Amino acid sequence: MKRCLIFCAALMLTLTASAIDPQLKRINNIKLDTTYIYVDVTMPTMEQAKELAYVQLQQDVQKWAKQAHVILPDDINSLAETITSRRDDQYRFFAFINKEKLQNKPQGKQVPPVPQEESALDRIKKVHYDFELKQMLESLKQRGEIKEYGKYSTIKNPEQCHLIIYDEAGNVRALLGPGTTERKNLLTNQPDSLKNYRGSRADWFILK
Amino acid sequence: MNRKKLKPFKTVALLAIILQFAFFNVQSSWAAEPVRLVINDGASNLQLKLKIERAVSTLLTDINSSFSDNLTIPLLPGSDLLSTDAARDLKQLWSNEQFRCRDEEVVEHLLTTRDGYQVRGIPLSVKHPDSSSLTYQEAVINFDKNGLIISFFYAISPELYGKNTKGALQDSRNEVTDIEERMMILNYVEHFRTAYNQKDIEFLRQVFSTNALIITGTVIKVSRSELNPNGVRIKYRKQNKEEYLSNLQRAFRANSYIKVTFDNVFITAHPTIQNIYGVTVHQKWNSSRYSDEGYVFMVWDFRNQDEPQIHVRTWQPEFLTHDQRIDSNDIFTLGDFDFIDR
Repeated sequence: MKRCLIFCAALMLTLTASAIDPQLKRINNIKLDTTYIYVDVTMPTMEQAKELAYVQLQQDVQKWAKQAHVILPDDINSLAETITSRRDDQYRFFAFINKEKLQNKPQGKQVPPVPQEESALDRIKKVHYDFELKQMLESLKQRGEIKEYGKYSTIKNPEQCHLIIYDEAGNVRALLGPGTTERKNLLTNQPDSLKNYRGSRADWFILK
Repeated sequence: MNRKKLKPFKTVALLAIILQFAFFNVQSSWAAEPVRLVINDGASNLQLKLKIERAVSTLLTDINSSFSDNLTIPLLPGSDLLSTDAARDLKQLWSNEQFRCRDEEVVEHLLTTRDGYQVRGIPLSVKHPDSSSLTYQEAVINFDKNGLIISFFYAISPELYGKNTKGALQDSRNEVTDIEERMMILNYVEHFRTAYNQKDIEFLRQVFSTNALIITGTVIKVSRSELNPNGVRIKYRKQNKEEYLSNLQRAFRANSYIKVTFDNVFITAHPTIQNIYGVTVHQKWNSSRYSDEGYVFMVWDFRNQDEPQIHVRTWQPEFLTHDQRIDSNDIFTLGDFDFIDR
């Protein structure tokens, strides 16, 4: 009978413990541990969730490094560990880094560099969607940072223009520098050509 | 009494208690799990932290029990944890669609807002009204300064929310540096979006200004020309507030459920008039009788921050034909409307 009681007690404990999903428990333990920097992203596709998680992780790590006076290694994302799961019709991408992994090179008495204002081109490079660019280009024009902009159908001097190429969904596919047949893709820093984007939509702009 | 005779009885009683406890645990893991919120950052006052954790844990546990028991009116915590207005709004939302918190333990930051506090990222599984399928949705809960729950909304995608708030700090072209103010705008946008799911015509009446301009675009066929090579264009229809609300009321009555979601939220500040903002969202409208996707642009006026109002709301379809999207240059922006500062 004693054995039976022990078995029942063990069964009860097992059933109680199994009520919380171990993966969820692990994520929550990391969230509660102040030695970690984490991001938790849920999106309709795993690719979207991963992309956004890494962007946010970079931002959060850089913010922390600035406060902690730490020089960061080149590839922060390679230091990150990840946990992925399905959440109904969406996908969860949880990425985390232990701060100790980032803390190997203290800045000491180095003077922090004076932040420089971003150029118009740097800002345009950071935009992902067509509707964001429309408002940004208008704003840059009003501030005198670009001369003119418009849809590709209105282009007059293509060799002087930067080109922003969109896919069907309005995501930015490429940012091409001025040129004729050969141009430089400013997002990849590789040679590129408008011919590679036949059938895509495009906008042009001329920098001041 | 003989001690030896009692021993088997005691053992059986103990076994019965253990089995009952084990059965309760198994049953509760199949049915409604108690939900626990743990705040991991942002709370400097321990009493407040504990109150907020208790309020949210109780609310989510009640919601999950209501979901498991398929209740038509949800169980909700008392007025010491949940305000009367928030309880009414939750019942309205529940009458449209049922949901449950999908995690037994939720760990999130506590954010400070202009009027109190906020917890984002509450993971919900929402049951589709016409089927048993579940969709993922995050909720945002607002509290007053004493930790009382004052609202429960469906959240804008947390990634986009983060992008907007971070963008405000990093990008001077928006000319918005006040993070609290930006949170307040998104809070109202979230409330506005949830109001459609709740069929809350009174909130919508309150938030549209008396002279609000409502523009709705419809795709019409025209003869093919150089200007319209696909033979389609958007025809715009202008409505005033009362016309719009009366049509919306009809839609609320005619549809057993309405599910509105916003994504790709983009906010700009008016270049000259302070506290006027242009908000562009990609909207999916799904109801029992009709579905569409398009862009909603709104002009929000936060000059009276206690009662912000919408002066303009436009809707434009996303697709002109099955494969031709609306040109992003044609989507309305703040620059399309003239305002006179009062």
